[in-house]
Amino acid sequence: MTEITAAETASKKGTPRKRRFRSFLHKNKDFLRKNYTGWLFNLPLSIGILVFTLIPMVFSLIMSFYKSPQWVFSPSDWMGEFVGFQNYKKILTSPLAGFIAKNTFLYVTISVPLGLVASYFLALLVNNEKRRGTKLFRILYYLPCMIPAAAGAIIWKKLTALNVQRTDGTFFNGVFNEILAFFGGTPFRWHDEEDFRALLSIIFYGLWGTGGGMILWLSAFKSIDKQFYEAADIEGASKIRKLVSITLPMSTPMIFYNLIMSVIGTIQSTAPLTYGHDGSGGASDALNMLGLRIYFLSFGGDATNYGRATALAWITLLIVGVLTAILFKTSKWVYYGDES
Amino acid sequence: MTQTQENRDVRALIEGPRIRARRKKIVSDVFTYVLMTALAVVLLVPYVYLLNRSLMTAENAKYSYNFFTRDWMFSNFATLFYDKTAVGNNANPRAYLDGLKFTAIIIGFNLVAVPASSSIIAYSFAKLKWAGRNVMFFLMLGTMMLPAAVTQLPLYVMYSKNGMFGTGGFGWLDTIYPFTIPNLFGGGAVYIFLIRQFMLGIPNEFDNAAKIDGANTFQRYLYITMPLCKPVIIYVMLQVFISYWGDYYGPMVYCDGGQIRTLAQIVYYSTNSTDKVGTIKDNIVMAGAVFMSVIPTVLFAFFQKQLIDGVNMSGLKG
Repeated sequence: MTEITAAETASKKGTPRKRRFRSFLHKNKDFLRKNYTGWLFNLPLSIGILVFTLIPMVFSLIMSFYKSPQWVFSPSDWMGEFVGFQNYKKILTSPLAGFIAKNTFLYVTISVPLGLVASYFLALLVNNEKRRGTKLFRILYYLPCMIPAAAGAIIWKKLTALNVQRTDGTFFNGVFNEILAFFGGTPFRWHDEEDFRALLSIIFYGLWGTGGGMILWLSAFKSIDKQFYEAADIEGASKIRKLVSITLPMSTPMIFYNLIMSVIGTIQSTAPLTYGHDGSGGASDALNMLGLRIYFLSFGGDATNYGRATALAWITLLIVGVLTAILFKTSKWVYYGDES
Repeated sequence: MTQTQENRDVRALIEGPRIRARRKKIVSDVFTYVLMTALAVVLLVPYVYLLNRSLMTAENAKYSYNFFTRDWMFSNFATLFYDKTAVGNNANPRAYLDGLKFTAIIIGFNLVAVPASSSIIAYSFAKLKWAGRNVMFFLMLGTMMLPAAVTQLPLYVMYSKNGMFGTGGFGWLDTIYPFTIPNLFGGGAVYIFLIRQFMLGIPNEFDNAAKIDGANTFQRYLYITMPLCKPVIIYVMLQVFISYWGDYYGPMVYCDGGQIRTLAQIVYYSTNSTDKVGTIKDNIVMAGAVFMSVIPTVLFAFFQKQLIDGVNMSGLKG
């Protein structure tokens, strides 16, 4: 009662505009009352997305249409002259584009499936908690992927060293090359090679981080209803049969999630950064790829070119968008349970 | 006689398959153990190599043929935290310890900030009904799929002293703010999503009962829902620890000036630069790597169950 009179007296005061706003508030009081708590709780996210995602995205798009000045003394010096799509054009026509497209494509198409299959297999192996020692093996598999990336790189550099000269003038070969030589192979420079072998080496090293992916699979396995397995046991189903007919289909949501996330992660990978070269892409650009190139164009000292870095980032976004859309469109194989 | 014969037949009938099943189980167990051990040996080769190098002299760590150490330099781990011999080029005898300090500050802040901010947001998605909820939810999932490469450079410019348009920015470069303050505003879409999933599994009856007792929304969030979310909060805290502990890329981008080095960053730089550490000592770098890898692994050993149980992806639909 008092509320209404207060609102009525209030609406009589002020300019017509203010009055209209007040009556809007009054009419929508219910709406506001119902929704303001939700928005209030969600406010941090709204601010976060606006400040740390949307504004930078728009800013990045603007930057990609400007030519960066020759010398950048402060990060704020990004704005040269407006050049339209020239940054995009230059990227697509540069001689590096081929290397980068090829390497990124191969890196994604080889390392993503390989990583997923390897970690899935590893998780299956340590899935049975009733088997004694399983938890210990999980720890052992997890350990190598916790080696810091930079330190991992020097380990691999040493393990695959070829003819490194010591201070006393003698030469030093890494263990992997020794093993290779022992079995009659030709030692080579692994990630320092100038051809496809460099990329394959990086993918090969990446296999030692398989234990990290194991955890998500284990949680997917754990959320599968035990009744399925009990029913299968009564029917006398074999282990392979249970894997193909229960475990695999029931973990498809996680397979889908991991597939999308690792495609997005791998496409912008800066993994070769730790192998020296300061992000320049290795010998003959054998390791140059999208994420690395963006890093190099953004923070690579003299090579810095903000316009091109952001243009390349937007090209990456476009590729990621198309790939994600394709993956979602073809996701009929993902099984979300009967109710959906 | 016939009685016992019959008994024996019956027993054979019952136990025959059981014995065969047991035999089959032993065979499969042996096979699994052999496979698990073989894989562990292969996967641990670089780690054992790292461990042995960390116990060598600097000279041997750099050039020795030997896979296993003969020096047993346990003192390397003391040198890691206080290196008397660090001279020249900006040398800091406590370079790694300082790195550990900054890493600890960042992690300490985020261990509180990330669960707090992401759980309050998750609560608004899971338990509150409001117009625009679905839009915000899909926007959030969208940020999960946005390549970080798109925002990293504009954020760098934004964080710089002069900002986007040279008229003033955040002034966050070479501080710990880029790794802490943004986490007050969400702390990561994946975490929000996972906490939301967990909250959806909590029956609304608890909330409604508290509502009748006169608890406001914030009280219901803090005293009713949050205590029940402990497993997923532990999961989030573990993930926060692991991701900030090993992150060298973020600090390398936003803290390149040298005032601040996180532990992961100092390990990264000391593999190819003499800055801060004086000279490149492979054995010390390796000791640092061992130290860095042991701590998350110990956490994993203790909280394996929470890490595996904390994820519930059901409901992430296309």
